Amino acid sequence: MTAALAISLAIEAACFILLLSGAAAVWVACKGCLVLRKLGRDATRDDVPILLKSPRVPAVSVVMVARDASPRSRAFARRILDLYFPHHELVLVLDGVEGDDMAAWTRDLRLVPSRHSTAGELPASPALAAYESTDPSDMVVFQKERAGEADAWNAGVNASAAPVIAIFDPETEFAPESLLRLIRPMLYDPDLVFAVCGWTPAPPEPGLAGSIADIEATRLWLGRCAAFAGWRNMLAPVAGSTILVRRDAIVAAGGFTAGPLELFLHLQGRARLSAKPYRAALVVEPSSFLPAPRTWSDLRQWNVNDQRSIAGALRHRDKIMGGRSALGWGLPAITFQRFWRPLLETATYLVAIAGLALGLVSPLLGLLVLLSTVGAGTLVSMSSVVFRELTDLRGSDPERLKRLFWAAIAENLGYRQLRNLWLIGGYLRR
Amino acid sequence: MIGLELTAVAALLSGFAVWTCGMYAVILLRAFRRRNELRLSAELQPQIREELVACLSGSGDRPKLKELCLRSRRDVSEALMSFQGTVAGGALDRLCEISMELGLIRDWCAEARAKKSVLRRAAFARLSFVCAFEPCRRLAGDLLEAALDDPDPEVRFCAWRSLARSGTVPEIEKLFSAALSQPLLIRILLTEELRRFAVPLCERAVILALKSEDKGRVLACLEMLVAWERSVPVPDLRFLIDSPDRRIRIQALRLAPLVPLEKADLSAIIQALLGEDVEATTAAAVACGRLQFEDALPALARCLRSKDAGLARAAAEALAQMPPKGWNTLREMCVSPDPLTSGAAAEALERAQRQARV
Repeated sequence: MTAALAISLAIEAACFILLLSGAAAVWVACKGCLVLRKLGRDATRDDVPILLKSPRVPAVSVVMVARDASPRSRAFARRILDLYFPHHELVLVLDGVEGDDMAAWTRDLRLVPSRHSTAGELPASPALAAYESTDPSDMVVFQKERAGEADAWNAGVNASAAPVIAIFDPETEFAPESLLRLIRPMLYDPDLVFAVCGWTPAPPEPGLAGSIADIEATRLWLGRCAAFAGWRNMLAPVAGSTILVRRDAIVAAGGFTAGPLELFLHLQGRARLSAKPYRAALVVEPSSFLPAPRTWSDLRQWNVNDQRSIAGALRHRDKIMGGRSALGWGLPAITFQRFWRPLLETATYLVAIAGLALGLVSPLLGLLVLLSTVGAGTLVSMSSVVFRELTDLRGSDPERLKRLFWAAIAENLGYRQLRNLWLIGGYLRR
Repeated sequence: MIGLELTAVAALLSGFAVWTCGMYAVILLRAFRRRNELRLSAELQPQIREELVACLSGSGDRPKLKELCLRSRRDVSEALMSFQGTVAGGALDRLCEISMELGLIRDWCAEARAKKSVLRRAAFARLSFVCAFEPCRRLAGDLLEAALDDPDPEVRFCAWRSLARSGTVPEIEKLFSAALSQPLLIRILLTEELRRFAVPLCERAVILALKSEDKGRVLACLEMLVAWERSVPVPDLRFLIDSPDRRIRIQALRLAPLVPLEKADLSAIIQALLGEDVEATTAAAVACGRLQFEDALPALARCLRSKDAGLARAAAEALAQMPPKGWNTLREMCVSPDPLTSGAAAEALERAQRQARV
């Protein structure tokens, strides 16, 4: 009798926490909606043609780190060179690339030896060789021995000549004018905006997996992008984001300690502790996105990769100013939503099923578990779709909305439970 | 107890479900309406554009355009605005005439008085485009003039843009003066609008701004002059090159290759080359290169021996632009024991010789 009561109380408490987390998710989505509507209203003017020919726009160095010479990496470098911008250069760091791979890069980019150096303000091991292209493109390439991710990024920043550093995720699709869109907040408030982050959900793919991925992207867009951008120093890039950071801010922060996410968190942590209202801005015009998952396997990979990047950043928390509080309550909230909530929910399912089988839990309690997980989850997904639609000032595709309505229900009947396991696994594997 | 909890949770979720489904119905209806609008636009836009192009070339069927306008005023407005930046002179006047004939200016004036900021901004953007035409300006009345002090920065910007397109020289001078205290992005956008007034502005407004006590305004003015890339007279540039404010010094050095210089200005550039501030010295080196100022060769050679890589490269580039004397200096520097100096010299010489061969 005591065991039954204890189990029932534990399940009730878990249900209460899960319901509260659902309510918090709706609140965050609502905040995200308001932020996106405001940003959307402010972004009505197309300044791209004027900015493109203005000499006043600061130069940008796009830093890229490549560890192979795959056709994808080389195509990515070419796409960077094709960006529309008044003055931009590519600083390519070939980290541990040698032999045939190096020859492929040399052939592809028409490289000739150069005397550029990676020596500078940030700690970085010296480059084995430097190259520049005989093409009319502005580019400098460094060949380095592999000495860690931070070392390669720092070498790139040292070699960059521009006051603004751009970092693109190699997996992303981006528009040629994305840099011109991203630079606007820095031009509007050059003294206080130290970084800009651009990300938009990808165009949805067909099928149930595509629709569920669309809902996932909607939640991410409203929550971790828009809502966090609306609160002071809480924005952090998600997978597929393009980042612009002021070079002097990177140098003042001591450079990279791991990857771009950790740097961004470190800068946000520094900004929180600063007396001045320094801020990172979000750009809502289409700049870059990760191609939308098409299959269940893509969806799993997408979730696991995101989970690993969060876990990776937390692993480096001692090198991030403010540690877990670098984003205020943002990082603990992300950790709860992406790890502790799935863990609690999965445990609740298991205990409830076992309790029902053993007669320790009443069927009404089982119904409460379903309401607070599947029921609340469906409503959270549906409300996210509603909020995202409200961010569009004119309205979008009705067929997509109909698809998402059914996907929001289907998502919570099987996929949600499976996703919990992916998230727990992705976080623990690190 | 569990029954009570279940009832409470079910009631809460039901209430939220009713709200969500209601909102879903609303957004679905809105999306259907939007789809119908897009379908109508897809059908009408090519016809409207065709008629507008015909009208701009002097022919065209105005009754047909009126008929299309009756079907969708929004599409005609959007088609008209799509010509922004592509028409000028007589064609622009005809386009503005058409918008008057179709009664679109009245619509936009009404929308400009609306409370919704999205509507207001779009209306002011349209009005600022067509108000380059005097009769349209008369029809819009003092709307744009009142918008010069509007609390909404986007509306204010549209009014400024309109003023830059149709204002008199004293009005442009006022606009230039106001632009100097705006954020960099707005200054960049207005710089483009004001570029064609560079010469009249340099007669009075620029001189006044450069003599201002406010260093921010002096800096903004210099940045605008650099961005215009026009050969305009800027008297006494040497005083700005010698300014105690390094940002002003750097911008003045960037402006130097673009404007007519006096001997004293050139001496000031050489003095800047000998200074301690690396960024200013780099700007001076770049200026010397662009001016192909051979009197600066010894000072540039000194800069090439600098410990700063950026400055050494800029000095080497400047020397590379002055063959044969500059190239000879670079050849001498190629054997320097300092790897930074020899590297920068060799690199610049190689590049210059490669370009000369091409």
